Amino acid sequence: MSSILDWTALELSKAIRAGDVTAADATEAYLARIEAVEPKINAYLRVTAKAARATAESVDKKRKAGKTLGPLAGVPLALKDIFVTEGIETTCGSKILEGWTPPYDGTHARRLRDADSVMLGKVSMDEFAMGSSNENGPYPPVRNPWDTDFVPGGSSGGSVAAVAARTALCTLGTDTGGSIRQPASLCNVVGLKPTYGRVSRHGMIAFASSLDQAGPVTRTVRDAALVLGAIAGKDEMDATTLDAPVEDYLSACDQGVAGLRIGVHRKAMELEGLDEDVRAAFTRALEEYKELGATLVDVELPHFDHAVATYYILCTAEASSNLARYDGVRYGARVEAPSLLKMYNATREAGFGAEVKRRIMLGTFVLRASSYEEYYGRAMKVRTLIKRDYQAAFSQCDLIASPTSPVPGFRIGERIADPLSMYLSDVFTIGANLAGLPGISIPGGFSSAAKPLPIGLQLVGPTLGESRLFSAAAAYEANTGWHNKVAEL
Amino acid sequence: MATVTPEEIRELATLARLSLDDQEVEQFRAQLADILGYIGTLREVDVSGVPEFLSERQEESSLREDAAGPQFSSETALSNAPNTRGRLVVVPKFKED
Repeated sequence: MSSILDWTALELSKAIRAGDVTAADATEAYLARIEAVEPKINAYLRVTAKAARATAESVDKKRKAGKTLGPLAGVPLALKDIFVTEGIETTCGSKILEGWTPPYDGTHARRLRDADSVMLGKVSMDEFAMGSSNENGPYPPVRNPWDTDFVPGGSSGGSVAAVAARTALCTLGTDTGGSIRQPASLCNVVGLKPTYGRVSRHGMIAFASSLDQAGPVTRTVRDAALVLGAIAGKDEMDATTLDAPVEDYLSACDQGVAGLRIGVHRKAMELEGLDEDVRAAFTRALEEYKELGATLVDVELPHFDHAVATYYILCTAEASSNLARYDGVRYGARVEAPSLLKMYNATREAGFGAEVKRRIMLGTFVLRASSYEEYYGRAMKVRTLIKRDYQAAFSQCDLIASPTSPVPGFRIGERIADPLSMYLSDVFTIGANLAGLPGISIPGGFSSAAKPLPIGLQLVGPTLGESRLFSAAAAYEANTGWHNKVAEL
Repeated sequence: MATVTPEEIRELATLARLSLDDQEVEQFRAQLADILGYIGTLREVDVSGVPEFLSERQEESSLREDAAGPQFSSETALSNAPNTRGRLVVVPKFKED
């Protein structure tokens, strides 16, 4: 018999509903796995074993009482520490929030619990979700389970490393410029950024509110469909959520790709610094899609080269405003000082790490009256142009394929001193955030290195095109089986 | 390459409520110059007549009903404040010497 750790969320929840295994069994298996491999990975900021056991017990009791269990019955999962959890410390990876114990659950924690999942703990991240490597912040860097000298990507590095190391069956991450998809690519897991507004932002600590979106990290496309179904939909607590019906994403996984038009932006393949193994894996993926019955269409995204610059103006502007709330007054850390202003300054100086300060400084610069028009105002207009580019492309194709990350990965410490090179690792993912579109990264092969690193394939769809993404992603996954490869630890 | 002076960095830090030390000032000066040089490439884009971005939801945004909902007690709301007195948050004096 295969180990309980080998089961997908779909398989495990089905077995638990049928009474073949208990939620307690599954929880113990994952807690033991955490004990065994977590010291090598650093994916968790805190494991809430006692609460997890209590939840598992209540799920098992509910089943024994003859009640119907939810879609994630007994599924052991973890939340990025950006998600607010009642009574459980939530730091967003920052010293400035150390010790903060939220008095409420955000929509994500609540909906996942209502679906009868079991939360194992909170996973690590770049401080305030700012970063692409999980090296930013006061906590030890998360390591890539495929090669522990390498970064897992970021900012949802803990979310992907936990799924890849099998210390959680699913996790939630957040994606502002690629923070779910880029790390998913680096760790051979599935990561979905939904359409802006498909999932609530209530109880998700704000970084750049017009770009932030929560989504699932899973081993398989079907598991991502299952988790999205549980968290998506209108939320009274977030006025930006869309009231479009939540589709049957699992059925979408069976639709196949026959007749589907896949757009390819050829010019992006001329990108300086695009790794040869990534290029080869992408070319092979396109051939595989043709064999599956899809057709390839060349599309243009004329403002592709300007997306990263647009993004770093807008996200830092929003961050400088959002992070103004951390002032040592109402919650979080405070550094005592003789006056209010000195207390603000000392608290923020001690509480924020270098990348967060850098982004607050840049955001303050672009919003200053003297530079507003030239930077922020201009970037908001280019954002409109980028959105129009995608609208025009989607009149010719059903979804757009690209690599997720220009490189298979990089070593811990390799890029930390050069913020700009770090920012450029988001070049393929940022467009979907700026245009508010759904995007998914799925396992797409491995590098030719002696210790091979995973390579991801990204698909971006039109607004609310999640079902289409799942159809195409599931077909590719079934045909290639890259997701079946497991990191040895 | 954009140029940024240490004075500009100090002024930004004041606006951003950060008290940077000299080493941070120099580090951010060099890095911000680098980043501003890069984001300055947006000047190449013709944006004449283009409106600023609005998301789909913003285009049809409306107000929700103004109704009272559940709320925290003041004890709960203040439970994470670093220093409180009764129902108040305590802060140092706001007047500089």
